[in-house]
Amino acid sequence: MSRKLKINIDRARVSSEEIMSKRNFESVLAQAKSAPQKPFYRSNRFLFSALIIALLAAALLWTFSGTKEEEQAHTYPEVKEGTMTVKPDTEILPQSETEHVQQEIVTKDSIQPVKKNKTHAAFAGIKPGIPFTIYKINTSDTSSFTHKNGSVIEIPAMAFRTKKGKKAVSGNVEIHYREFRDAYDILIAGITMKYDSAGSTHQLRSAGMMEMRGYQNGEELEIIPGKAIRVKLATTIADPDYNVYKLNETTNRWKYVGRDSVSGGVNTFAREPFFNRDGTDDPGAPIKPVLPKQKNTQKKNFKLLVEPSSPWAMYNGMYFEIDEHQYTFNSSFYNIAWDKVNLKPSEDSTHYLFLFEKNGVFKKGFGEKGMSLTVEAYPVFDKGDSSTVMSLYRKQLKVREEYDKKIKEEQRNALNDQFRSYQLHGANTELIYRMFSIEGFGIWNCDKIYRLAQKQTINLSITDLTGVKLSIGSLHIINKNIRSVYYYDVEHGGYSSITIDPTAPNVFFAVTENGDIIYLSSRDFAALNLGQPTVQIRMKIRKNDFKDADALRVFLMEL
Amino acid sequence: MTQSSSPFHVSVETIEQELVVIEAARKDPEKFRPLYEKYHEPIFRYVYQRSDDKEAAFDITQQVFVKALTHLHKYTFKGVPFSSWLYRIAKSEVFQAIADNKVNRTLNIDTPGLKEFMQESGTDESLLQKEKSLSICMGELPEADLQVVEMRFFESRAFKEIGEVLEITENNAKVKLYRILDRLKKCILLNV
Repeated sequence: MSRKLKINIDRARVSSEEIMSKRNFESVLAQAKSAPQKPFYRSNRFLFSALIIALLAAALLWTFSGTKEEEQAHTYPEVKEGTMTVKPDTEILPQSETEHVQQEIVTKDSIQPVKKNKTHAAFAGIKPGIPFTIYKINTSDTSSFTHKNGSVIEIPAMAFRTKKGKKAVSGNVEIHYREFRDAYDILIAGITMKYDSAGSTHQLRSAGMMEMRGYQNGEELEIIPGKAIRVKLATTIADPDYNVYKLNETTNRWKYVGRDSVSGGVNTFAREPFFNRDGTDDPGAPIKPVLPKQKNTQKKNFKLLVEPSSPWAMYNGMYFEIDEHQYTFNSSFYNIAWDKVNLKPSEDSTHYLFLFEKNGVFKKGFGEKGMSLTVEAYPVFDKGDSSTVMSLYRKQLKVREEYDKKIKEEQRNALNDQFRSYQLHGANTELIYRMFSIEGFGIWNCDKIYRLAQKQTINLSITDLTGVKLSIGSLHIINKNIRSVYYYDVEHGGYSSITIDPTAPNVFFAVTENGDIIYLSSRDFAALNLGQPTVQIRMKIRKNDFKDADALRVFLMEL
Repeated sequence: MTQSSSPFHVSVETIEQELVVIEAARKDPEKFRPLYEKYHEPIFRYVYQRSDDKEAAFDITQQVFVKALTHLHKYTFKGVPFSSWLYRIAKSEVFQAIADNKVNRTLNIDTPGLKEFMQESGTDESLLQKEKSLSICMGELPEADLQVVEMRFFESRAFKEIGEVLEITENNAKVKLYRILDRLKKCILLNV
């Protein structure tokens, strides 16, 4: 949301002499001595004792509650509408926090359940998962299909047999196909990116990953040996230094299969960016009107008079009241015959931001020629005479709401094809094929071992926003610049000490037993002080009410 | 560009000397005087950079030191100069004053800083002709991001200093800044 910000250009510098003349240490001393002392109930000693007693009581309750606790393990605190402020007890804050340090506002999406998991199931991805696309082919002849992102799958005739009876099948079969084209897909699907080789564990980085299954009448099929399926996996990565791996789904380990080959330049995608279409940034969007108020005679206002040809002619003759927080307003405004006016609503739609200009405003630098004035104001009406102004408001609001609805619908419809393709190819990027053959259904991956560009090992303390430690089964970290996911779980060394690239846009994830998402965004990561002996990671939670994988994916990508 | 006297590039020896002073001041507040005299001007400039009323800025500066002295028993050394703690107090005092309508949140820009900003953000000078676009785009930045831009371009602080004030690493400060510049550039293009 936009804030009121006054901008001064080249303000006169205050001299050191003047500053020095204002020094008054005696006054500081006197005020510090007379500062009110904390009452006993707010003293560190009292709060610390209370904390210890509360912890002991909680431990006793936990010990004797047994089954009851397990029954309640899935019950989260009720989340109420609106916002609430949760502030850790003063004693939990770092000592350098002072009374006025801004408190964290916890919204509906980020209220933390305080919960301890006793057992941790293996991570199985996040629901809703990446959907399969089903292709129906006839096995009597060679066939192929092109996936929506451009990947091509070429299947020889009579390539399948039943898994149980090993009997070759003819006629129509269903091929279930999906791709995991970036770290978000890999995370959602819960696919490991660890690779064990010669006793060492490495991190894989993907250039393209796919999963394919075959079915006939609901019965699972397998590929007949010697009837290899040709995969041309669409990607943007042309680096030839990648291998092909197949996931052993029993051991959850990648197995090296061989090398792929790369071909490029077969297709050109030209797409317009999908994001930033929220209406507010679209210059063609109808205006989001500001709710008019009754005129306050104590406040300054102005009447807008514009030519009929002006884009703001609908406001002609209407009064606008200067926002009481207006900081740049100068009464000389009334004496100037402005030759141009522009306006746009503030993000919170509480006022319009008017820009009045005269003589073309500025040519070079600031204030050399012409003039301009920014005025924050909202429409007003005289007492008992609101009909015209309110009628315009309601009309504009209706147009805007219809537009917003249409845009949302368009975004929704476009998600499956345009968005995914745009993410994959970018604008005007040539499509690259990574080509290899497969002789078995399952998950296949073009990978290479990834090593961190910069390394820093940090000790973590994972807490909720209130500072309470969270016990999570596995921690997942995405570096938004690469297609990989780092997994740390309690069964394999835990996550109390991890090595990451401190300069990368890292996002931390975990999933609760209920499937809700606990996260630390890349923005919050960038704000961490990684130099501390133990870095406190304050995770937020987002209820997992995503309708489909795309909605979930959009949420993850924005972190 | 603002010539703020930077207290940051201090030696380990100086930091240790400050710790000795702090320890003494905990027992006898009068001993805090050298730190007050050393940091009064930088703290004032920090406060005044973000506000529009000089007298109010002097008052806020005094209040910062009152708070510092009152809470000195809570101060713990975290490997960064003592001034980073003072800046944190100053930051919260400024925001409190803004919340209380004592001062307006202000961005003070000087021409050399602006030129540097334009160069680093890759923004064409002609796009920045209007106060409007700057006002809108800077106004849309989250406060933490605005602080980074301010400190880098309009207070001439090194990334190390920015990191110390904001309690993030030097590298994180760099990464943060370039992400912010990207966003600002897009915003300015949209608001020309």
